[in-house]
Amino acid sequence: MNALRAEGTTLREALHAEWTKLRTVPSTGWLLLTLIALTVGAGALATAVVKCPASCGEDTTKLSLTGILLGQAAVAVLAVLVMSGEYSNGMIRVTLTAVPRRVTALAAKAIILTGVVLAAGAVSVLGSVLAGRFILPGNGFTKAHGFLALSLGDGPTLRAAAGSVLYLALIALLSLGLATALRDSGASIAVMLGLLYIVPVLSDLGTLDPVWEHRLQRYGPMPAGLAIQATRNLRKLPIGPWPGLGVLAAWAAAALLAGGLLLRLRDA
Amino acid sequence: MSTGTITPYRSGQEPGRDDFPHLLRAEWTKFRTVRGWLISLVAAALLTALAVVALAGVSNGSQNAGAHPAVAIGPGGEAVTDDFYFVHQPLAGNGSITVRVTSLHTELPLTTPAPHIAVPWAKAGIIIKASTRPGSAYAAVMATPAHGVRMQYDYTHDTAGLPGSVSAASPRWLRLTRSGDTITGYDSADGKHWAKIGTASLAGLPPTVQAGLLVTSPTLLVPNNTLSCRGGFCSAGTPAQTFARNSSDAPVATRATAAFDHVSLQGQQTGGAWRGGQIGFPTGVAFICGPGHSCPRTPAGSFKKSGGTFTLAGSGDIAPYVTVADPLGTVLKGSLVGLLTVIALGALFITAEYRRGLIRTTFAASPRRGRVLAAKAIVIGSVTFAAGLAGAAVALPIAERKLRSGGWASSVYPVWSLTSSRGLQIVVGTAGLLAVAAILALSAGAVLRRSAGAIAAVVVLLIVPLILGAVLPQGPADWVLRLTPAAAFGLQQGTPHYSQMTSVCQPINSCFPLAPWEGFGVLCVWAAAALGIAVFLLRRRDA
Amino acid sequence: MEATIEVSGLRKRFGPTVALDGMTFSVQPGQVTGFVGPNGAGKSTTMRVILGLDAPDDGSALIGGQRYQSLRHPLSHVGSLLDAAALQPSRTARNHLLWLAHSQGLTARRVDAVIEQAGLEKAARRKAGGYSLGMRQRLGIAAALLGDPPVLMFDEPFNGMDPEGIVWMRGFLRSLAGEGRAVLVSSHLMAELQDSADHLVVVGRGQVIADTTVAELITAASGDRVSLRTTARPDAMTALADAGATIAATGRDTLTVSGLPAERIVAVLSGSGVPFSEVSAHRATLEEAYMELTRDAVEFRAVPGATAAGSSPRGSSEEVAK
Repeated sequence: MNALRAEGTTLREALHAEWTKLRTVPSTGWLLLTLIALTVGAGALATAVVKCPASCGEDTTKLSLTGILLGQAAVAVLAVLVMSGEYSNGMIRVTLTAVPRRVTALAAKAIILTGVVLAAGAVSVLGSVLAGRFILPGNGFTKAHGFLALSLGDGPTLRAAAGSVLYLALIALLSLGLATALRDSGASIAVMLGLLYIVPVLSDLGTLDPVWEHRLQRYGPMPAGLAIQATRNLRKLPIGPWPGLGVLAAWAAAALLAGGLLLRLRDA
Repeated sequence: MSTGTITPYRSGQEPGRDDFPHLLRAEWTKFRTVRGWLISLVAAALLTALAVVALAGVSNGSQNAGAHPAVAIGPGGEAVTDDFYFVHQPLAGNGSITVRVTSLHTELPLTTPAPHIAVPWAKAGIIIKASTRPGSAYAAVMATPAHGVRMQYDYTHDTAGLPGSVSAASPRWLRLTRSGDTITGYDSADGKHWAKIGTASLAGLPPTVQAGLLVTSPTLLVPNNTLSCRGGFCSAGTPAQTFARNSSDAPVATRATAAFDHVSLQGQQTGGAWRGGQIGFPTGVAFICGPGHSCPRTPAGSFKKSGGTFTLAGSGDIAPYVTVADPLGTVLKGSLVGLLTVIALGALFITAEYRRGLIRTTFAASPRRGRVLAAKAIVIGSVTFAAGLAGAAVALPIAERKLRSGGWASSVYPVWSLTSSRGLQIVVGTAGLLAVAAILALSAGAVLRRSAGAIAAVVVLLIVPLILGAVLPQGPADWVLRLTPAAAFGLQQGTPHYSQMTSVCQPINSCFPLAPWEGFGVLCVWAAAALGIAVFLLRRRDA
Repeated sequence: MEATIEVSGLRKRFGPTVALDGMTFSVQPGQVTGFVGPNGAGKSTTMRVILGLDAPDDGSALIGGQRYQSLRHPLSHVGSLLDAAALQPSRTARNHLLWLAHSQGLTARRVDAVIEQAGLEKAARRKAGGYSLGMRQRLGIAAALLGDPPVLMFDEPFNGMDPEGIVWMRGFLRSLAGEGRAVLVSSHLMAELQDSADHLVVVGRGQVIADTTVAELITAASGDRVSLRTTARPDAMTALADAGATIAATGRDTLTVSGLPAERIVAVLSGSGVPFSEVSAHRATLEEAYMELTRDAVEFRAVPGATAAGSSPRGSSEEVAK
């Protein structure tokens, strides 16, 4: 007879537990700070070094969001550690003893992680857009050259900004799924970063069969997902903004599914 | 209790004196006794080879089939461009030629009058050339709009002379003298005080050569929609480097016009009349000049002589032929997969010890922590070097064959065998890249003590700049690729690049702003700095 | 080189926590020195400082007169076992010892010798990740013996050992000391050291509370107390208190009396007509002596009343005495 509890662990309790776990690890704060600093810093630097009329062809919205390229690495590390960090010190057994329904445990982790990354991602993206808004006009991206100040009131810019936040959340979920499947943090982060960064390099070599390049650009998680940042020449993109983000979502869903399945089937 | 009668114990194990080799041996034993690490090492070699070969397999050069009619073969057997307008006379035996250049103007020959456009490497000057056959040996002294006076010979050699551009107020005097196989170039601002720029030794130069004046102006690669003209002046952006490179760089033909006077040819003259004509590619014919690029028609050259003033107009270039695509260099990007594996291995070689406190056993056994890290660096550097060497050496010949059968013409894309110096550079360079990257990762692991963070940090430093280099415009991209460890990827360059010509230099073409070994030096400096910080922190922190 | 450990005036803080507060003691050859104190008293930190792993803010720790960092092949001077779990799980026990041996210029033959000494022959070629805690302790001991050092240091070596292992360990520690080695063994449970330690260094809150032989400690803790067994406890207490004694009830029919010699107690009880069955000089257990010493030094004490009565510090002495 337990006076403290009548029923089993619910998702709400699991969520509360995961939130407490995540916020009480110092590395979480550092990684989120790294995300914001890398995204805003690299974005501001990229806008600061590009000048019009020399490069008036730039997509200024996309340019100001360049920092996402770097910031996503911090998101990947955070997401990998949420799962494989527990495997490395044996805490996963405590977690699964407290929340025996493993899919619930994974779902709780995914939800809390998504929430945290959405919040920090929104700060990063807002910071980047603000930096672009202040820096770009000074570099010649003015009305005279056909550029308005960056603003979230502009439809495509809003889509690019909101999409970039979603992009980060999907990167987190993909990393979480991968780490659940692979368990080891070193292996997970290496595979994740390879998937993120090597595919775009290979897709842009210029010497490959165009069919292959096109495939890599359409279905690589990063080239496809970052299509959401484009605001100019949309018709020339290998994949549209929302379909591109959809490809990334499919990657994340597949990774979570595989991870969840393995988590259920394997001994902890 | 009888402590008084106890004889203190003496160890029966007093080993030899020299202890750094012991440390190396201990670290090697550590590495080889973790099966996962050995598997990862073999995987790094295999993945490198497989990825390079697979990329070569899907590399497509068929769009370039027969696409290089303008290519001549230079004295060294390399592909060269040798197109210019030449006003010349035969010169028998030793002699010299002197001129004064009073103007050099470049234009976009689209409309009449032609608008001005800047062409940094347009050339106007004098040349002594073995024959009028394109690709024959030569030495020349030339004024350029943006790079001052240059002495160049045999396509690949370049020496700077007087700086500054040419105008009527500031003309340039140029002189070439022949003595046997040796040709010496001079320049002067006033025709009185001459300075030697350099000498060229052209082996096998025939007794009678062609000497005269030349004007030429290379094709510019202009990004889509960035050519803008206003009031007789045109400008263009730097070549686009968008992620998905749908915007193509359009080649635009340019023309240079230059005025010369004080023309004097000294020696045993055999001709006497100046004859003008186009060398190399005939005018007015369109041809393909790179994958997906249709080259513009070469505008017609011309020659007018009134009194002592010669006015020449011409298009083309006298330079090495540099292709936009570097098929071998780009497929070598397959080694990124192996690189990522050794980065993980390098980081784990130390973070695995932190994870369970094994580092305390290590430091209790070897209290001098700097030496422990040095031993680890040597071990991980050596094994990853071996893996990279094996992977690249296996991949190169197979990739080469696949590229050939994939349609890359060999007159333009030279064959690099394992024994050629560039082939060796590619293989050893790839191995070195992997080894130093692993040491960088080891250092990051010692500093951060967590594998995920260390691996991510090194990947962001080493691989992400390649992507940034393709996203940012050329100027900032060049700085990113000069300052970050990614500069070392220049080691995998399959096609040489020359500073004396404007070429599209992007990481995706495996062209880097720094020379290959300089770039490798940048990576080494990063690794050394990281190792230094790691040793400092290891000594300072409690284990 | 002399087989000693000399620790003097060690101080170390971790942020606001004072871990070591002038820790001073020395360990002599030929005996097992117990290093005891409650959790958090600074035992492990002291051992880490001795091994050069942690830098003290002040003070020094010397092995045979030398700093650990200056030893050329330290494992031939000091063998230690700090954390038996500090292993790479995918490496076999033998290979773990092999790299350690190579770091000291020792050979594989020496590795096989210590494997035999620690009784690990059968499991040596298995991955250490699959070892039980007791087997890991044995592996750690094998590692400590690798350099055949004159000084040995073990941090909580009895942890995770089964009774058989504990008996083996006690004999093993004694035989190491018998060879003339200095052996320092830490424990937070005095009972573990009862039959193996010759000398004791008792610490609490980063300081040495007592540095003495086991015999002296027990004598000191016993004092002039007398144990008394009686069926009429209240009468006995009244009579003895009137005679000026201090009395503590230690059981249903037992009392501990101090302040009166045994003969006086017999006389008082006989005079008052109180029945009693046994009067003996009280001999404290090591555990009692330790509790007495460290009562004020315990950092993490259970809240009184929150635990069952039998496990309170005072009550436990009785259980051990049985």
